Amino acid sequence: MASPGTLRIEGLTKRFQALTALEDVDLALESGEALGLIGPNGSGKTTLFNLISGVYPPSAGRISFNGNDITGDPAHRISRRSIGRTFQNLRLFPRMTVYENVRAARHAGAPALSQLWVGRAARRVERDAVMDRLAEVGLADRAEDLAAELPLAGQRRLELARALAAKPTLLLLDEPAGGMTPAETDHMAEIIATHAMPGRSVIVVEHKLDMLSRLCNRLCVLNFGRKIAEGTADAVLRNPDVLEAYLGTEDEQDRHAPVD
Amino acid sequence: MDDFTISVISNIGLFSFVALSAYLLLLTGEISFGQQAYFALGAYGAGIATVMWGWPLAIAVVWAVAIGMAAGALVALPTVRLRGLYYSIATLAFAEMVRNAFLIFRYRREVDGFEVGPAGAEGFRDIRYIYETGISSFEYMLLIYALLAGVMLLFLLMETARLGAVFRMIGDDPVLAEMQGIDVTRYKVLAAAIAGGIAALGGCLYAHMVTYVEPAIFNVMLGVHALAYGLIGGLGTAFGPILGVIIDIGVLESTRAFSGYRMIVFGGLVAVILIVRPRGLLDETLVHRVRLWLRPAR
Repeated sequence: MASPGTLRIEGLTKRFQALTALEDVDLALESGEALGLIGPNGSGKTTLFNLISGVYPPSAGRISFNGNDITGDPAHRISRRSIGRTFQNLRLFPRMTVYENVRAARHAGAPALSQLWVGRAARRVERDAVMDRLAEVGLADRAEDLAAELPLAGQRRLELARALAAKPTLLLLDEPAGGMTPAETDHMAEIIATHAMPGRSVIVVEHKLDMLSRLCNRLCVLNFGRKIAEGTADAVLRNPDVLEAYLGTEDEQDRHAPVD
Repeated sequence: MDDFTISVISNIGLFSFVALSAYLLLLTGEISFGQQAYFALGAYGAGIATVMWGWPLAIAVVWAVAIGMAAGALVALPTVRLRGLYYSIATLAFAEMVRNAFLIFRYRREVDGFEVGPAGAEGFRDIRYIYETGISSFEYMLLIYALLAGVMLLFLLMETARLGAVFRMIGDDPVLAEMQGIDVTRYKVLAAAIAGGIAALGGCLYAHMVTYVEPAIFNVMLGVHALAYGLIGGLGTAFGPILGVIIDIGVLESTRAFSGYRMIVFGGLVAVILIVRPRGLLDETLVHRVRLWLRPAR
């Protein structure tokens, strides 16, 4: 068996009727590696995440995780294989508390009847685990608030805590700093570096290249559903195809790609 | 306690079962217009058991719950993947099928020199178990509330344990719930089975209180009321639907203050509450506040 967190993607294609969102993409991720995924809006980054996490099946191609073929598996089974993710357009349970949102990740795979009774000891273990995750993202003091009451940056950190609570060996972060101020972005990058990355493989989609080059040693660039470049951050960002995809011309080299 | 008060309180208890049944499905995000079908199955099933087979009520209660759960799970299997309106229409169609089936269902047999049993559109008379065994209407009211307390205990246990959270997660965002490793389809079937069992339990108790049931009682208005109880009373706690029943039966119907206008007032109330408090009077936010206030500061 391959070491935990190994991802192999071959010839992955997704068509939505006439639209081809992703075309013939190959990608390999080794155990413990951090990969940055960039590309203009609509280039297929979120589609790739949705395919890996089983939101919908691919039209063609293969995904294997830790040596097992997971192509077309339902989302709940993929989640139980310890692939976790966050969402570009925040997805929380807004009417539940911050605490309950993180606890949600710990239901995975437990049989239905065991959900009806949680013993005192198990409850304490659960409470400690949830509070540890909340402390890591700096939300321990907001545990009893409703998720909807958190500001945007807090909601993004809550999503991260929830993803971490499931102890994923592969973590997919979809714009973890989307909509954040520079200070909040720095804070998020630090949380990811200290608590999310050690001991697991990570793929980060992010428009903020400073943050990406800090977290990831390898970048992969998508454009119109195809992979156009892959390699170290420096090499990729000097690649003329990449510059053209982002900027059209070479003379307005803003370090930040356009954000929606 | 006079007979009128007892019958009002008993009715509140009885309709609480079908309200809780619809409420459980509302929690999982499904609007069922068909919970009256399980109420009917419980009423007929238990009535047949005590009248024609001579079973004691205690066993008939278990039998009714079993019928309701089995039917709930069976209907859920093909309908659980339907979303929104399609699910609502499917449950409505199923309930109408059940009602129409009872319109032609005849199962007659002679017991102690009398012919008894369901007689199609003429209904099912003489479900006289509690009168034959000398249970007073007051005692029967206590029985209704003892069983309702049991069901409420199940709900409260569910809310404090994980199962309630799982149902609410599915109701909030089924895709996200799925991504937390939850087999949404399986839990929806489970919810439908429990909901069917609860409604059938109510139907069983109803049939034995009124001694006579006919298919017309189980028309879609019963299902609409069951839904409205949760929507008025609130989806934050299982006390919500019961509050809804109390408002409707305890206030609108029984005080006769709105005699003749009851349905108009009730309909207006549903509309107003859906606008000003879309998750009902006892909604999640209020329940959360109360819970924080009750809990000692940590």
